[in-house]
This record gives sequence, structure tokens and C-alpha cells, in this order.
Amino acid sequence: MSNIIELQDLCKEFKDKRVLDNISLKIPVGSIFGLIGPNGAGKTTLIRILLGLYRPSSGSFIINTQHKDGIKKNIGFMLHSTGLYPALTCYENLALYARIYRLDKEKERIEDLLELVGLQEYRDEKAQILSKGMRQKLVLARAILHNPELLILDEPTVGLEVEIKVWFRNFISDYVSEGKKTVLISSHELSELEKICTDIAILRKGKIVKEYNKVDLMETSLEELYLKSGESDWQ
Amino acid sequence: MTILRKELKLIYGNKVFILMKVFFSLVYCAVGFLTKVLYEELGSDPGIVFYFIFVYPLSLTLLMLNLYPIAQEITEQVNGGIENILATGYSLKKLLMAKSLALFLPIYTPAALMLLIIIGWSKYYLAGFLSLILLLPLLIGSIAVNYISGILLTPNPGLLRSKISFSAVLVIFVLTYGPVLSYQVFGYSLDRAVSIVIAILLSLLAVFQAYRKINKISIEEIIMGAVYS
Ligand SMILES: Nc1ncnc2c1ncn2[C@@H]1O[C@H](COP(=O)(O)OP(=O)(O)O)[C@@H](O)[C@H]1O
Ligand SMILES: [Mg+2]
Repeated sequence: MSNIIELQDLCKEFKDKRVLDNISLKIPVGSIFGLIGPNGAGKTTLIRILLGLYRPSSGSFIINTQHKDGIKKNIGFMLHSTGLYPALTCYENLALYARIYRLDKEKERIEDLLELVGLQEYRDEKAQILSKGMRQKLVLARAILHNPELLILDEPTVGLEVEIKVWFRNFISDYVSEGKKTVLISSHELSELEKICTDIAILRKGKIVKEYNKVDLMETSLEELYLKSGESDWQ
Repeated sequence: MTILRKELKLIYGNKVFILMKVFFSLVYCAVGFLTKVLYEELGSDPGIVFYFIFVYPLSLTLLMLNLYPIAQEITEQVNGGIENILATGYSLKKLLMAKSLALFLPIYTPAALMLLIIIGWSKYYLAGFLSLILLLPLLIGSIAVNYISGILLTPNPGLLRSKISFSAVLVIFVLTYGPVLSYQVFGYSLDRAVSIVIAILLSLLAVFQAYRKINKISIEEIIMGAVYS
């Protein structure tokens, strides 16, 4: 199976602090790859590097997707910050990105997506009136607006209600199974990833301490694997 | 273009800003007309015209800058608007230019109105149009670039505004008192042409400074500025 992302000895330092330490990873096409680790492990830093927001201090990575004029037309993302403009409507918030991605049939696509995430009634409401869960749905709609091959999600459901978490999970499984998509999703909540991921890497203190695939996950619970991976911290 | 449109929409969605802009446009226009009275009172001294053509619009620019709706810039930082846009691969330079242009337009237009009025009655075409289409746009443009790139790096726009105001006041000072000072120190007054040349040099300097800013600023710096300060 070919890989959509490959990381080779990737390191990131901020001043003298090493935040990512020799990360090597391969993320296969068609997987839902979970990046799990406690707060401060370096998940967001790694994701920012993949999105071209930070430059690695050393090492390298490749992402096998097609780009055009520098715009990453085949990568969708959700970050900690929503990036929504509170003063713009739901429609306008999506339209801004539709123009950045130069979509044709912008209007139809946006309407479809608003319906898909259940926000069609809020089409012309300003983003500031949305609840947190609705905002995340709008951001998710924005992430898949251009129908990207690769979705990179940084703790997309942190702090949301259970119903919405479940909805999200199902949505992402469907998204992957319907068209040949790959998802990289980070979280510090095990339950979020266990149910849907095909592969999991555990990141602690900037190091990948363990990697598991579906078969491992079927045999042992992720909780057990996760706790075991942290054992050395206690010794 | 996309970003420029969004910025303008955000700026002009702000009612306070629109009111302020209308108010300032009126002030600028009034100044344009009143200089004529001043001019006649002072025995048709062209110095007054040159002052209002070269120096005065800058001081009003500073005032306008202070009214710019800063809140949305800050929320853009807090909500990560910038980070999300840059994550699409959108060019940082284009983004800076668009945001600066969005700031430039509402500041430049009232000043241009005033200049047109002054040119209209004074008939100082050369000086007037030189300022209108060269010096003023360069200066206001550079101020806008400096301001925007500064604001993306700091969550403390107040300090930034003070810094920019300080340099602009310095420029105004040099332009107004330069000729007087030169008379006192060197014993001869600067020709108006020399003042104009100084104005041109200063605006080129401002452009150079803005150019350097644009080339120096990096995405990493912007994101770190937003999160870690
Ligand atoms: N811009 C930065 N400057 C300095 N330290 C940083 C910066 N970004 C992240 N860090 C540090 O790197 C570590 C990993 O952070 P992060 O990637 O946000 O972790 P996670 O997303 O797993 O919670 C943390 O200790 C954090 O303090
Ligand atoms: Mg994080």
C-alpha cells in the first residue's frame, strides 16, 4: 500500500527546547491515522509542520498530493483555532475559502455542505451566534469544501458534547469509506480514536513511542496500550 | 482579491468606522475649503498651500489610523483566521498586501478629496498632483504595510500605533520645521523645491522600510506571536 505522508527523522526545536524528536512515520493511503498523546506532546506542532506553517528544524517529510499555484487543493484541515469570522455569515465564511480554493460551482457546493452538516437554516446567520458544536460543524464543512484527499484534524472534537462527538466520528468514517480519503486525526482522548482509527501512533514528549495497526487494536484495548506506552514515565 | 474583499466587507460592516470615515471625509473637505480663507488672510502666501499639500494630510492620516477598527484584527488573531488562511497555502505576501490595501483605501480617499479641493482653488498643479499620486500614496501605503505586519506579530496594537505615530510625527516635524531650522542654522532658507525633494526621499525611505518588513516576516513568527505572548 502506498503512503500519503512520510516523515523522516523530523525534529523541531523552539530555541533550545526540542518539541519533536526524530519522528519517522508512514501514513498509508486510505487510513484513519490517529495521533494520540497527552497535552504538550507535540501533536499540534507536528500538524503545523505538515501544513507548512512551521518549518522543521531538521529531517524531512513528503505529502503525496497534488497542489496548484501553492494552494493545497488536496488537503483539508481543522486546527485548534476555528478561523471563522464572527461578523461573516456561515455562507460567507465558506465562500471565502471556496474562492481561495478557486472552486467552480461555489454556490451549489456550499449549499450542499451546509445541508450535509445540518446548518442550512443558519446559512445567512453570522457565525458569532453559533454554538460551539455548530461552529465545529461549520469548520468541518470548510475542511471538506474542496473535497480533499487528505484531511488533517487537530483535536476536532475537544470540549464538545457527546452527541456531537459521535456525529463527528460517524461523519469521518463515512467520508473515508465513500471516496478514497485519508484522515490524520490527533487527540488526547482515547475513546475518540479507538472506534474509528485504522492505525494509531502514540506521541509522548515529542517522540513516537508506539505504533499500532487495526490488528493490534482488536487484540488489546487502546487504553491498555496507551497506559503501557507511558509506563517508563513512572519509573 | 478574495482577501481584500473580505477585509473591506469586515471594515465596512463596522458602523462606527463608517460614521468616522464620513466624519473625517467631511473634516478633510472642510480643511480643503478653509485653507483658501487662510491663504487670502495671509496675503496669498503659497507656503500655506504647500503645508496643506504635503504635511497636513499626514497628520490626519495618523488620526484615521487610530480609528481603524482594531478589534477585528485582534479577533482574527484569537480565532486564528490568519493561521487557517495560511494553512491553505495562500501566500503570506499576498495576504499582507490585501490587508494593507484594505487599510490604505479608507485612509487615502478622504485625504485625496481634500487635496483635489486645494488643487482646485490654488492651481498648484505640479505640487498638488505630485503629492496626490506619488508622495501621499507612498507614505500612507508604507504606514499601512508597517501597521498591518506589526499587528500580525503583536497582540498589543496600542504600542505599535505609538511607534508608527512617533515616526510619522518625526516626518511631519522635518517637513514643517526643516526649512525654518535650516534658516536658523545655516543662515539660508530652503527652497520649496528642496522641501519637495526631502518629502520624496522620506517617502521612498518609508517604502523601503515597508518592503523590508514584508520580506522579513514569516508565517512561523505570526503564529507564535498570536499564541505565545
Ligand atoms: N511556538 C512555540 N514556542 C515555544 N514552545 C512551543 C511553541 N509551540 C509549542 N511549544 C511547546 O511545544 C510543546 C508541544 O506543544 P504542542 O505541539 O502544542 O502539543 P500538543 O498539541 O500535543 O498539546 C509544548 O511543550 C509547548 O509548550
Ligand atoms: Mg494541540
